[in-house]
Amino acid sequence: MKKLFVGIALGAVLAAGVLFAQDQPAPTDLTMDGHPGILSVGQPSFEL
Amino acid sequence: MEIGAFIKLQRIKREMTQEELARGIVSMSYLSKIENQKTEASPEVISLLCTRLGLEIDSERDMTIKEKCQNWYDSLYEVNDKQEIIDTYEELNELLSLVRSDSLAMFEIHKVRYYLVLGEYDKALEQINKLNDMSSAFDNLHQYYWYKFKGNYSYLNGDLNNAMRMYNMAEEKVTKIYLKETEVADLNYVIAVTHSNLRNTLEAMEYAEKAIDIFQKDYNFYRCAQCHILLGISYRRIRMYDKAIENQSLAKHLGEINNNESIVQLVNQNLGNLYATKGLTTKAIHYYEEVVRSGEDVVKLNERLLAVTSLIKEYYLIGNIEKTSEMIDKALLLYDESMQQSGAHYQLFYYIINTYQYLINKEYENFESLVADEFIPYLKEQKDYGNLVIYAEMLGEHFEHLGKYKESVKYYKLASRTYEQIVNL
Repeated sequence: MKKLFVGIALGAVLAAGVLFAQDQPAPTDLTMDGHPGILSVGQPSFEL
Repeated sequence: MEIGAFIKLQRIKREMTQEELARGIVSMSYLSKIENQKTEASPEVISLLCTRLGLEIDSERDMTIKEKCQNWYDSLYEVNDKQEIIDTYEELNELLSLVRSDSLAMFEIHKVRYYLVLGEYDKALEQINKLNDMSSAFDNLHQYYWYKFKGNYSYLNGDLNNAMRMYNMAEEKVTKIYLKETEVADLNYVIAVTHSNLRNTLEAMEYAEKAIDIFQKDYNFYRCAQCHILLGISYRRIRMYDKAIENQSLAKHLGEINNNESIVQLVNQNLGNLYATKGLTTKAIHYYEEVVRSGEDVVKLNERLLAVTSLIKEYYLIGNIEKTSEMIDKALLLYDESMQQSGAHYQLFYYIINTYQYLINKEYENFESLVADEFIPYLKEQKDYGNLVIYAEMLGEHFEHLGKYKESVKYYKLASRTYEQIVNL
């Protein structure tokens, strides 16, 4: 019974993994970019 | 600006009530009509009201003020000495409180930008609230700057959607007024930066290209470099890496020939990001290390923290625990320093540093409780979807390794739903 439950749970994880992978055929970039500042006075700065 | 609105502005500036200003000159209700431009007062009445407000009427002097104001407005856009900007501001502020000048409304609107430039965001908001009441009397040119500066305020305050709304309203005014080309370029540039932050990559490119066309004609290499950095970020996002490198290299070159080390280091941070995205960790580390090594006057604390946390991630990725630990120590020192300056802005770094520290120390219970109970709720609150995907997935993977599948699915699902949200944004 316990094995069955673990099996089902593992199956769910794998399915979620597959779904997640299918959801991202072209992954969106998640990098925290270093944007130049919007005020030019002083030096440009990184913005998160 | 109409005389009625001008009188109202001056009265509010002096914190006078309508009753105090009208006493012995006109009735309060008549003053209200003058202020709201529902009637035209005689020159005698205007003169009496101006005298009570302590204002001179001197048209010749007004011309000088106008010119001085224009120079001051221009100084708020370029790399200038802040002390000089402050000194001119004080001089103009005093002059405009004594003389009845048409420049007053524009000067009051530019105060919003002035406070933003000085980093005094509370004062900028106070000024916005003060002018809100008057904004219905603004003409198209006033409105253009009013919306643009409110957009600047929202952007710096982290409210990107509102910033975009304001910039769009400013953009609608462009065809109705005369603006210098460089002003239009600056608007295009701030719209590009905002789109880029909102991950609207194609729009960011469109506006950056528009801005760069004008800055190139103006030989403004500094602004061109900023636009190339934006284009570099955009090309990386759409995985056109050669174009991304080309743009970042151009920006770096422009930074170098102008001796602008800040631009050079900003490019290094972005080149680090680019190689990290491509999975070329060694190259990414090389560029991030360059940023960390640069002088304190070149790279500010939050910029250095960004580079050091990027290094933590890269060293952890290749399993170099010793260097990861070294970078964590460095980041903690920088974080402590940042706390002494100002608290709230660096919360994100606090969570990232501690997440990795718990991971390398194998303090898994602390890791789980930090990420699940504090970091993820914080990211949700900040609407930082990019990081939310990364850390929800990290927690999902962690639970999967431990065989805690129910918990694992929960965080994988969160990552997946958040990801969809980013794609649909």
